[in-house]
Formats: sequence, C-alpha cells, structure tokens
Amino acid sequence: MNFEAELSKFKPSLDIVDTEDVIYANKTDDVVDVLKEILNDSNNKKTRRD
Amino acid sequence: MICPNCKNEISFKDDVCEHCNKDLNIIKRLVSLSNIYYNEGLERANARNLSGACESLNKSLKFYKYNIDARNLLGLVYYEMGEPCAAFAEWVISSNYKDGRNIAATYVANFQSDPTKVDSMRRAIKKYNSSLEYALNGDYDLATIQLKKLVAEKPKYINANLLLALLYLRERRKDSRVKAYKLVRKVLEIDKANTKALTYLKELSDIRDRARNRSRVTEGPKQEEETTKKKGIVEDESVKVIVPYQEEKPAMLPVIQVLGGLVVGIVIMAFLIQPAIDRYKNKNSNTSFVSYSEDKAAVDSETNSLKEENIDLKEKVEELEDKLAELQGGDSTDIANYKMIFETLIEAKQLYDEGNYTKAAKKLVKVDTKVLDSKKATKLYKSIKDDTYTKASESYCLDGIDAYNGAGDYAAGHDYEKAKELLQKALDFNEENTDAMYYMGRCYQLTGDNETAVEYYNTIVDDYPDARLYADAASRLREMGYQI
Repeated sequence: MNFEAELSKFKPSLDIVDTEDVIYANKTDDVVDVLKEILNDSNNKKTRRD
Repeated sequence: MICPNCKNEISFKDDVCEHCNKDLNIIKRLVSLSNIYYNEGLERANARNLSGACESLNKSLKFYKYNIDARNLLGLVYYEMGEPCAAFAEWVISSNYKDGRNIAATYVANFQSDPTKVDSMRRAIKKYNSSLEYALNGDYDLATIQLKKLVAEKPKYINANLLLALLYLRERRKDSRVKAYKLVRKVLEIDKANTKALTYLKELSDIRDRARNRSRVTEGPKQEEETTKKKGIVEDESVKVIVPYQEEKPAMLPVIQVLGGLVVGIVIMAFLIQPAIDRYKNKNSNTSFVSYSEDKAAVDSETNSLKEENIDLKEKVEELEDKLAELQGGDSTDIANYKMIFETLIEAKQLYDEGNYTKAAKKLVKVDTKVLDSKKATKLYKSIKDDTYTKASESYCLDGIDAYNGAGDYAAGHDYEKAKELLQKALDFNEENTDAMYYMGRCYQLTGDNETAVEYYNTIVDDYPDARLYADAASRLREMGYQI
C-alpha cells in the first residue's frame, strides 16, 4: 500500500466558516439547469436564424 | 416537487406548472431518475453503507437539486460520518428550498440550539484539519498524538479514525498494526463499505486472520458461527437500521472523575496531613501551657511574698494600733505624766542654759528616764544631767558644810541635822562626792553615831585614796581606834 497516495486521498473537513460560504454560494447546477441552458441556447440560435 | 422555473411547489401528477405553465415532462423524468438514486441511497444508508449512500444521494441531487428528501438524508449521512458542518450545510440549503413542512428546519434548529456542542464540533474539525496538515508536512508523531485525542473524543469521526489507522500502518510495528486494525474495524461498523477502510483491512489481513483464529479457539463451533455472523462486517451485509439523529448527552464521566478525585484527596488529607496538623497544634498548645505555667508560678511566688509582706505589715499595724490605743485610750494620768515629764525636761534645759544648775538638777530628778523612749529626749537628758548633777552636788555640799560650820546662812550656830540633809542631797546628785561623805561622817560622829560615821570614813579610805579629805578621814578613824 502506498502511504503517500492514500494520504493524498484525505481532504480537510468542512468548517463552520466554510459552511457559510457553501450555503451562500450554492451554485450547484443539476441536470435540469443544464437542460434549461441547452434549451435557452437552442432557442437563441433559432431566433437569430429567424 | 418544486418547479425549477418559478420555484413554486407543484404536484408530480401535473404535466404543466399551474403557476408558470412550464412543460414539466422532461422535468418529471429527471425527478424520477433523482428519486431512483435517492431510493438507492436510502437502501444503502439502511444497510449502513454510508459511503455508498453518500454517492447515490449526491447523484440524486445532481439530477434534481430540489430533491428535499435526498438532501436531508445526505445531511444525516454526513452527520453520522462525523462531518457535522457538511450536514448542516445540506440542511440549511434544504430549508431554504422548502420553508414549510421540512425536517431540515428542525435539524438546523437543534444544531444551533446548543452552542457548546457546536463549539466542540468546531474544535474537533480544527484538530482533524491540523492533524492532516501535520501528516502532509511529515510531522507524523504530532499528527498521531492529536488524532488519538480526537478519536477518543469523537469515536464516530470516520476520517479521523482512518487517518490515524493510516499513520499506524506506516509505522509497520506489530502493536501499531493491531491498533490500526481496531480502528478500521470501528470504521467498518459505522460505514460498512468504506473504501479506505476496506483497503486498509486488506493490508491488515494477517491481523484479521489471527483474530479470527483466536475467536475460533476460545469459542465452540456454534458460538463461532454466531460470532462470525456478528463479526461479519464485510462479508455479511446484514440490514442494520440507521439510528436516527440524537443529541449527544453531556458527558458526565469527567465530572464524576473530578468529584471522585476530590473525595480521594480529602480522605488522604484526613489520614495523612490532619495528624501532622494536630501535632503542630498540640505542640503550640503545650508551649503555650508551659509558658502559662511558668508565668503562673512566677505570679504565685510573687503573690506568696506579697502575702507574707502583708502579714508582717498587718502585725506592725496592729502593734502600732495597740500603741496608739494605749496612748489614746489609756489612763489619763499616764498621758499627763508623759506631758509633765517632757515639760520638766524642757524646763530643766532652760534652767541649765541660764546657769541655774541646782534648779535644773531638781527638775531633772523628776524625770522618769524609763518613759523617755525618744532618742533625742534621752540624749538631751543625759547632756544636761551630768553637769547639773555635779554642780548641784557641789552646791548642796557647800550649803551642808556651812550648816556644819555654822557659817553663811547658818551663822546662828552649828546645825548638824540641816547639814546632814544638805549633804545627803549632795550625795544624791553625786554619790562620789567625797567631801560630802567626810562631812556626813563628821556630823554623825559629832551627833554620837560613830558607827555610821565610820562607814563614811571607810568609804573614803577604801574607795577614794586620792580624795581631798583622805588624810582627814584616816585621822578620824585612828582617832576612834581603828587601824588604817
């Protein structure tokens, strides 16, 4: 077992201060948002062609 | 579900959002996929496969971030894995997405209600992060020490347990490997399919086999089967219900330990230190008592001497009182005599000073020398007595001779009787007046009393050979027929 490789897998735990940032900067996009974006892009392209 | 367009709550059965008229068919398919992953996550969480549940729930939220149940469950899984802040973040986001009936609000309220617990969590996270930093920097000993304390405080902190197990594995000592094995076993009890834990367990297969063999030897076949079933963590994926969120009870053990230590300390003090304190007090008391006794003895001695002195003084006072009583309350004639004697003495002194020795001598004759207890009075008496008596004797002797001869005041004729009287007075004042003796003898001889006359003559001849009239006295004796 490679100690260094295993050690690098460990990430620091989320602190309370970091939690606040995560909550307020919550920009997690799900597939719905991706689809919306795709749809918006396609609609925009249609209107340009028109 | 929540409409991703207008964020309003809508029914899953609707094909179009009643608020914004958005077509929901595609949304519904995505929500369905999200729910599939949520169900998978729930199943894994129930089976205590927390890592697997985490993975599934994150996928669920990737498809549909408004899946409140998935987000809430993810928070629970994070909390169980010892990541409270990550759990708190998920619950806050969930409660933001859905205000109404949402268990996440309760979780958030519980989380925030106990600042002590929050503080404890923060400290634990800081310790873990600093330990990780030490380990990454090569300070493995510091990291190990800190993690040991952390793991003891937070036994369900999976990452802390795993990091410590990794550090033990690095040491490659047998006892460290055993410790690592125990930590890995503990993690697998919490999270059955934890990837890291399974990797370390593979590395610790020798320890695992030894432990299994030991359990087979100590237990019977049936018990072994049961034990194997109970201990089958990786092999046996038995269903285990996830313990719902519970608040940690305040640790009473430290308080009890402190109280126990206080009681033990008090008992030790009572048995060991108190006798020494008592001895010291007794020593002080004894010293005080000794000094008190010495002072008392000195006081008693002084008191006794004062008592004796008092008795002496009382006796003297009584003596003086008796004397005073004698003087004050005695016979009045005694007082009068006392007064008369002193007056007589004073008068005698005055007459002596004037040169009237005969009168002074007459006064002195009245003075009773026994009464004179004053030294000064006695001295005065003696100082005037000798002169006055001598001179008075001479004066009376001359008057007596005048009376014998019929001369002076007695020129009328020889008056032998008067002469005897005067000569006797002379002898009273001075019994060694030999002239007075001689003429007394002559008076007695001339009046026919030869016997008495012979006595006077013999006195002169025997006792006063230097007397002026010694020859005359001797002649008179021969005249009367006596041999000298």
